Amino acid sequence: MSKYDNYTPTELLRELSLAFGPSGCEGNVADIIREFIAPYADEVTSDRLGTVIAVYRRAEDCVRSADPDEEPVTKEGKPEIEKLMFAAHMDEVGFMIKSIDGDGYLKIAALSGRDPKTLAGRNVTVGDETKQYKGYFGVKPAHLGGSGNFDSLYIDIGAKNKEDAEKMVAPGDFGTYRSDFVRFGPDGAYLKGKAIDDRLGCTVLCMLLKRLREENVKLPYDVYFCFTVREEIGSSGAQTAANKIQPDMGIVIEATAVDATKGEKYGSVAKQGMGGCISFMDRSTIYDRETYDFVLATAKKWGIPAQPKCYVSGGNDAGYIHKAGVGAKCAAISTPTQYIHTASNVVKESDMIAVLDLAYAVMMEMK
Amino acid sequence: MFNLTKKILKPVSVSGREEAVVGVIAEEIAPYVDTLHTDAMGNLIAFKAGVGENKKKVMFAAHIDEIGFMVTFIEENGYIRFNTLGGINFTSASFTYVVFESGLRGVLVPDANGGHVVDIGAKNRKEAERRVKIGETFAVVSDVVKLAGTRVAGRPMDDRIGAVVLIEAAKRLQGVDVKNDIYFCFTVQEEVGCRGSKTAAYAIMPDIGIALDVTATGDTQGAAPMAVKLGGGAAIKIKDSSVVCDRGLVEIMKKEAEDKKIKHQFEILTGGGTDTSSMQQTGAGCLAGCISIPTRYIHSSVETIDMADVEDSVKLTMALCDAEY
Amino acid sequence: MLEYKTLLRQLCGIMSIPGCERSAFEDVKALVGDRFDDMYCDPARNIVLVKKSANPDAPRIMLDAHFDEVGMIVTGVSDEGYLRVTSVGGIDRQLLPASDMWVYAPSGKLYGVFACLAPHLATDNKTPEWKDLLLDIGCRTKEEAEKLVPLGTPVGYYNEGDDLPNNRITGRGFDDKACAAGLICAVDAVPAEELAFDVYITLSSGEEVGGGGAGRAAFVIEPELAIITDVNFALTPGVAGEEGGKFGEGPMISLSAVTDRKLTKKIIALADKLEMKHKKVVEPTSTGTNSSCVYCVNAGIPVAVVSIPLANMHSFNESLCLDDAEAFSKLIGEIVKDKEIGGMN
Repeated sequence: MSKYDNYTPTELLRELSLAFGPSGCEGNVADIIREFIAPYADEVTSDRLGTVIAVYRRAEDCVRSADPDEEPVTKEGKPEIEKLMFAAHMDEVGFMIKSIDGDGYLKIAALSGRDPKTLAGRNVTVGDETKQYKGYFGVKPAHLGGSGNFDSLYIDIGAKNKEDAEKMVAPGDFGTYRSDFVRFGPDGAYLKGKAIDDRLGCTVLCMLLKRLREENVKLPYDVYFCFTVREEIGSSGAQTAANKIQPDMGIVIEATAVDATKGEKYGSVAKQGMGGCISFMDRSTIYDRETYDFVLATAKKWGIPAQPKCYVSGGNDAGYIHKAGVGAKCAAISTPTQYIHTASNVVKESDMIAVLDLAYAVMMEMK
Repeated sequence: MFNLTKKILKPVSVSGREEAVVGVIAEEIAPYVDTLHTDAMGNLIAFKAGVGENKKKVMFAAHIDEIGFMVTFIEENGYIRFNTLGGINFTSASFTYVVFESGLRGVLVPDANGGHVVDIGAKNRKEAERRVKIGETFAVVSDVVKLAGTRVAGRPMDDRIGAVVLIEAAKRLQGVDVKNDIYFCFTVQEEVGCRGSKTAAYAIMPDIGIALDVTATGDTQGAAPMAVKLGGGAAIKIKDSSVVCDRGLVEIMKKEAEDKKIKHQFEILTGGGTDTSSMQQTGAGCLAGCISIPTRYIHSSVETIDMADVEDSVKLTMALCDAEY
Repeated sequence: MLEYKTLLRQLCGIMSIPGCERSAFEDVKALVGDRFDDMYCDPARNIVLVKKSANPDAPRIMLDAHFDEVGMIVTGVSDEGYLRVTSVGGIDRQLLPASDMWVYAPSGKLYGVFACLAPHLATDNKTPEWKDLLLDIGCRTKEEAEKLVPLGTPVGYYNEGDDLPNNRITGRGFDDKACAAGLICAVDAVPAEELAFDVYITLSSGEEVGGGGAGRAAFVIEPELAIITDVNFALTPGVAGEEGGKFGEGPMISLSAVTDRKLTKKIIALADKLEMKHKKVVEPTSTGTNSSCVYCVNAGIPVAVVSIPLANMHSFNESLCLDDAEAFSKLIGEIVKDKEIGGMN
């Protein structure tokens, strides 16, 4: 029995959102995930960079085609595969401590995103997996000209001077936002927190695995649930995990940026409340057309909300998975997320559930 | 009310030189109030005693000065140089007729250096000096034009229309007992920094201070998003750049409007101040609020209002005379 | 005994955005009302706490800390259901994108977050205008949002605050509740027999919007002396050495042409006698505090300005050092006991 047995998806998302895990320092997040998945996985391994890989083995008695030369897609239009890889990244946007000045203030280097507007004044956590300290980004008072630019940002952790600060942190330590997880909006339909990109994907993977096990689903293929590291700095975790697994198909569960403030008249990317966004192209991947059609058709057949991601931007773990080894067919299902890469990511709870249901449905359709 | 409006907008009364309009207003309001006097600054204060048991001193303030100009220098060639009083919109004021205290007319035009001069048709300085005195004030010629429906354009709506509201309210309350002691104040020098209302408020030390003034609208061409609409009813001020109104008083104003079924809206003005602030901050301070009349193109020659809003403002003013505070 | 940090956190929990100070009165009364001889809220929305000296001839001293805090109010709703706001008090708009807010709606407080383009997609680093800052309360239609949030609804910062090492704390609303809590603790601890003054603590209104409620309070109280207390800049990166007070090195005392030199010198002498670290800060023509609206009230009131160093002023994450605040409180406690200062005039 783990303490997570009765967690709802949102409760797990909350726990994961609050965990400290900037790129390169994902250990705390991995610990929660390992504890959650332990009762449900056939095997939990890892690659050398720290990506957590949980395996759900195919059922021995499931009949497979014996002919290795057979077309990978069956006549019914269902992909025929041996290994399915799900990927969601554990890391979140953050920064690294570059130096400590004489007064004990920390200077930082960004790991991603350099907009001082979303950093200045914010609560942060600094440290690593074993020790974490509270602090905040200093702000030059509005009376004296305001918060200025990225290079003038500094973190105050309450240290008296350099020596005092060095007792707590050192250059090379990590940092990220600290932000409450809040349910809000009429009927509490929206969730806000840091790192929902992509702890929401991690949540979906955890819940999928749990569901497969609890329903004792028999699949004719192995499923690898990969909780990857370092996506925000170039998807190196997905690369190594895919190299290790050599999947036939990869499905990435991600968060994608949407902007609801401008309404439909500006042709916005996607709408919250309309389910997961299925990508046909982003800057890292041209998605396999058949798989894309298959995922959308599955959503339609099962009556699960889903929408095409009609905006070509960004990239994700699929960029490496589809190119790994002999290559893999890839799909990406992304939850429309507002204010991505800030301390306050906002998602609609119903979208998370729709993504979870769709990923489950896709697996069932591939039986 | 249209005829009253025309009459009150007519006199030239630039900030600091309000005598002309004070005379007209005094004559209009005298029959409807108990006492009438002007103070040292030149504010006209009309008083109507209340009969309520827990009566409060309620001060209404509408400023009667207008933005304008003061002669500073007459050039060799007869052109007149001037200084401004209040925030002049030269896009509107250029190539217009102006009128001096004496009634003399001239035209205001741009000069070669990005400034402006007034041409009164004088051939040279000597001739000009016979017609115009240094220190004399003048303003863009007043005009009032009916537009479609109940809408009216002209100047200076800011803030003679507030004075119209007070006169009309006093008139309709003639012979009617009201709960509170009412001070209808027609204040001077608002456009140069809310100066008149300070001394008026100090003398009265009101419990409640309510200004009547114009406010911008969100449906003006090129306006920033703003909730106030022309024709949307009397605007109850929540905030402008000089004042944050007392929330309790805002609630009372809202309730009076709702009870009496007076069309109203709420106003948050992000630029511009009013007499509200000086009433709030004089002496021991008082609960201050403001009824605003939605106005498009403020400080231009074609300030545009809706007489329906003016009517709503009159009704709200009357309700507040009789309200329980 | 009142505990400073507890009281500060309690006061910071009371919303007092300019215009709403009156609603704070009952909350403050419930916290400390029974510890004072009298407590009232005047027409200018000042909350006044009175503690009389046992000496019937004692002079009156006004101890002022403004109680309003910077905030925003709702000015409209966009077609997509987002709130538009404007500031009441000086707010750095640069800090707002993606920051958390409380919307004090009639039905209770609602969480909101300012919309923000993903930083990696942002094309410029311009300070957003108020009209471009849209507050997301989870409504996606205009009607839905208008039903919940009427125009003029106050909006304030969301930040519970933290304890940091070295007695440092963070939170919102320390400007100027840090001083308000210090004054209340200080006066509360002095028995009436030891008071050299009849003390009037004014938790004044409208300082952040230039309304200067303190001047109205002074007009009514007619004190012989007034100490204006406010926060001042802590010495942090971006603040010049002579302008800022270092954390842990005590309160700051203003030297200015608008403050009374004799009174200021007596306070400095008192701090020296107590061997209390403090920082003198030169603010020639304005201290940026309520001193400017108090010193010329009635026939004139001698004022001095004592302050607590504060980092991140006016942001949602202000920070101070409890050592400074407690020293401040101790100094105030000594001032109100000081018969020499009381007999000054």
